[in-house]
Parts: sequence; C-alpha cells; structure tokens
Amino acid sequence: MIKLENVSKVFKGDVVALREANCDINKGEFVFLVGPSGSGKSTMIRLLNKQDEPSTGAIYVAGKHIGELSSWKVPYLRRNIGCVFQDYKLLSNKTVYENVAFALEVIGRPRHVVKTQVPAILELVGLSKKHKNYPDELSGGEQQRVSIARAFVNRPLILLADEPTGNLDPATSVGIMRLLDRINRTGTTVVMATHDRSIVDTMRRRVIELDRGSIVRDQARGVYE
Amino acid sequence: MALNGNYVFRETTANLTRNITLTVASVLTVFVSLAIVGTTVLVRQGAQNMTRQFEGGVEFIVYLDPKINDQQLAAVRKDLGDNPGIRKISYVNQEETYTLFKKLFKGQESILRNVRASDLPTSFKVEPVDKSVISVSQLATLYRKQANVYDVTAATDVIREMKGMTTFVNNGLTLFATFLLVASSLLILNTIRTAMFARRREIEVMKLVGATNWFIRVPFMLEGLVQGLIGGALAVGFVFLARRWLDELLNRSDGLKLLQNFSIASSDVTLACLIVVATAVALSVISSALATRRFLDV
Repeated sequence: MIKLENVSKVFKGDVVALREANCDINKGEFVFLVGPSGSGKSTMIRLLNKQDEPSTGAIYVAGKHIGELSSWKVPYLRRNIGCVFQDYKLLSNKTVYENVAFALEVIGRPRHVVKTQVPAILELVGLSKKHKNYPDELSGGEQQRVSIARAFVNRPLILLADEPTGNLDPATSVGIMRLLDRINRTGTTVVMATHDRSIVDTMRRRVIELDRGSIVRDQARGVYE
Repeated sequence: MALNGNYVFRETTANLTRNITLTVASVLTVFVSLAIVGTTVLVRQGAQNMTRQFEGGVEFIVYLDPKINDQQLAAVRKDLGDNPGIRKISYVNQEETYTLFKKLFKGQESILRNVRASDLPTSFKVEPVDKSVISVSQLATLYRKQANVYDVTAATDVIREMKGMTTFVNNGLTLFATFLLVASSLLILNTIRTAMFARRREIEVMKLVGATNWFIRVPFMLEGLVQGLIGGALAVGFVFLARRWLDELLNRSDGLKLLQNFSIASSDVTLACLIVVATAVALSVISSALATRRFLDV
C-alpha cells in the first residue's frame, strides 16, 4: 500500500529531516512512527499525501509513484488518504455535522450521499447527539473524534494521524485509539506518528522508530523502545 | 469536477457579504472607471458623426432644393463640374441620403416615421483644389446664392478645431480611464486575496480532503466577476444618463450652434455599452484569475 525507496528530505540550510528511508507498509497494517521531536515523523506523514516533496527517492502509494503524479491528480490521491492532526483543524464556524459534511461536499459528492454518510460516521465515532454543536463547545477528545469522522467519512484506503493524542489526557487517548483500531479493522491502513509510550506499548503493533531522520528500527508487534 | 450550483452560490454570496466595505470599494471603482470609458466612447462617436461628412478631402456640401427637377439638377452639376477651382464632386442621391438619415436617427421611431425619402434634400459633396479656409468659404458663398441650392455647409476651421479638441479631450479621458482601470483591477485582486486569506483554514482543509483547485477557485473567481458586473451595470446606466445630458446640453444652448452636427446615435450608445460590459468582464476575470493563482499551495 505504501512504499518508500531511499527517501530523503532536506530542508533549506541543510537540515536533514529524513535520510535514505526505506519501508514497505501493507494494506490493512497499523503502523506507529515513533521517535523524539524533530526525528522526521511529521515529515514522513507530510510526504505521504504530497503536502511536501521528497528531495530524493521514490514514494509509492497504492501502487502509484506519487512523485510523478501531475498536480491536477493530487486531489484524487488525497481522496484516498484521510488525515488527522494534533490540533484537529476543525472549522470553528461550522457545526459538527457541517464539518464532516464539508469533506464530502468539496469533493463533489451528491447531497443524498452526504445525508446518509455523515450521520452514519457520527454514529461510529459516538457523536450523534452533538451533531449541532460547534467545535468550541466540545472537549478535546470529542473534537478529535469529529476530525477522525471527517477523515474517514469518505472511506479512504489510508488514514494518516500525526500525534492525534498529543493534546489529550491518557483516558481520552484510549478512547481515540479504540476508534482508530476499529477503523483499522475495516481494512484501512493506519499510519500514526506518536510520542505516547503507553499507547504503543499496549497496542503492540508494528513500530518504525526514527532518529534524526533515519529509520533505526522496524519491528512487528513492537514497543516504544 | 462536479461543481454543486448550490454550494457555489452559497460560497460566492458569503464571500461578497463577508467583506462588504472592500466589495463596495471595488464595485465603485469599477463603476467610475467604466463610466469614463463609456463617456469617452460616446464623445468620440459624437465627434466622428459631426465630422463624418467632411472626410476624404470633402470640404463643403451643396444641398439641393428637395423639389428640384432633373434639368435643374443637371445645370447645377455642370456648373460645379466646370468650375476650375473644384477637383471632384460626388452626388448623394435620395436613397443614399435616406439611408444615412436612418443611420443617424436609428432608434428614434417618431422621427423616422414622419420623414419620407422625398422630404430630404439630395446633395453634392465637393472637393476643391485649394483647401484653404478663404477659398473654401468663397466657393461656399458663391454656391449658396445659386438657384435651386437649398444650403451649403462647409468644413470651416472651427470644425477642424473641434476635431482637434475632441481628440485632445478623448486622449485625456482615455489616460484617466486607463489609470482607473488598473486601480480597479488591483482592488478586485486585493479583495479576493483578502477573502482567500480570511478563509485559509477552510482552503487548507479542502485541499487536504482532496478538493480540486478549480472547486476551491470558482467561488472566489465568481466573487470578482460579480463585482465587475455590478460596476459594469452601473456604468451602463451612466452611459444612458450621459447621452441624455449631452443631448439636453446641445438642444438648450443656441450659442453652441457649432455643435449642431454633434449627434449621438442609438448605435453609438449600444457600442459604448458593449465596450463597458466587455471591459468589466475582462477586467474582473483577469484579476480574479491572477488572485486565485497563489494561496492554493498546501
């Protein structure tokens, strides 16, 4: 599903964010990216949905070399990749329902699809009762659920999560992880960057550890270190 | 790209009303600049109508009595033709006169209905050898006294001066209009940029969930187009007003006898309106396209 071949990313001023990274992630896998701040986790996530371009190397997503994708095709690539962020990136002037529906509207899904899909996904993340609330009326955990609903409402093949529990307390984080696990069980490949030792240690999934831009460990059913 | 009409309408209206002060500023600038453009076209066309008869070396026109018979006509023709001071004459018959008349009074049905071709005087357009003002006015005076001649009009130096003056005024107006058009393009561009900046978080989310660039761009471009079109519509209204004012001004002032031939036909108004609308569309589409080019990189 995802393949990195000798991928490096060098920012201006010779800051190496990613050095000769190689890895292969299969369909349906759940992968943790771990490592200290600045080790290249976020960079790797950003490269996968073409928010950034690698300096060298090739990235394949769903069999396609995304470096060779023409710019007008990028939106169609992104429709297959859901994104969840530490800061949720919800639109504060839209309700929970509208935030999720927005993701479908802007890719041109017809209204009847929006009307059936959005309530279904809100049910899945457990927010049916709060669909009329605005983001600032929700707790952090609830906001992250909305953001996951938005990322998953289009049933993408891949879900990228960049420290989704970074702003949440441990108990709430567990709830979010259960949700991501459920989504993973539907066959969606999940790649999650995290600092959270206890989550990685309890889940026992594949762990890719980065240190100063290099992959230093790639372990199935691994722990944080 | 499936563009949902409802979505586009909602977004465009939201954009327009969100930043109402900037929207009004750009609409008004577009209006003023296009009003000047429209007026320039009217003045230019009017001046052209005024001097049209005296194009191609023609210096004066001998209008004949409408009741003239063929013999008398032949006599006048021979007289003009034999004059050594005259290089060339051309006869404008009743049909041609009527066609010209219809062109000048296009759209003014009451006049057209009451005038028949036989009411109009036919004429000779005359190109003299010596085109100096003195020689032309001598010839004009001579033929004005002739039998069967209704009147003679000459391209006096006043008309020549008028021609020069309208060119001067037109150039000035065109210069002003150009500056204002640039200003209004920049204002539209800035309004759209501001709208896009205000909504950069939304745009970021749209890009991340896979909205196409055109999907994101279209509501903003429409915003610019609407601004241009409203300004253009106001300017079209102004063109009609300007025509009325010019007409009234010319009818009222006897002192401006010189301007009698200055007339604005309905076709000139149409031309001015077309130019105004075309400029409005071009201006807003170009600035919208430029404005939405950036900001889309996520």
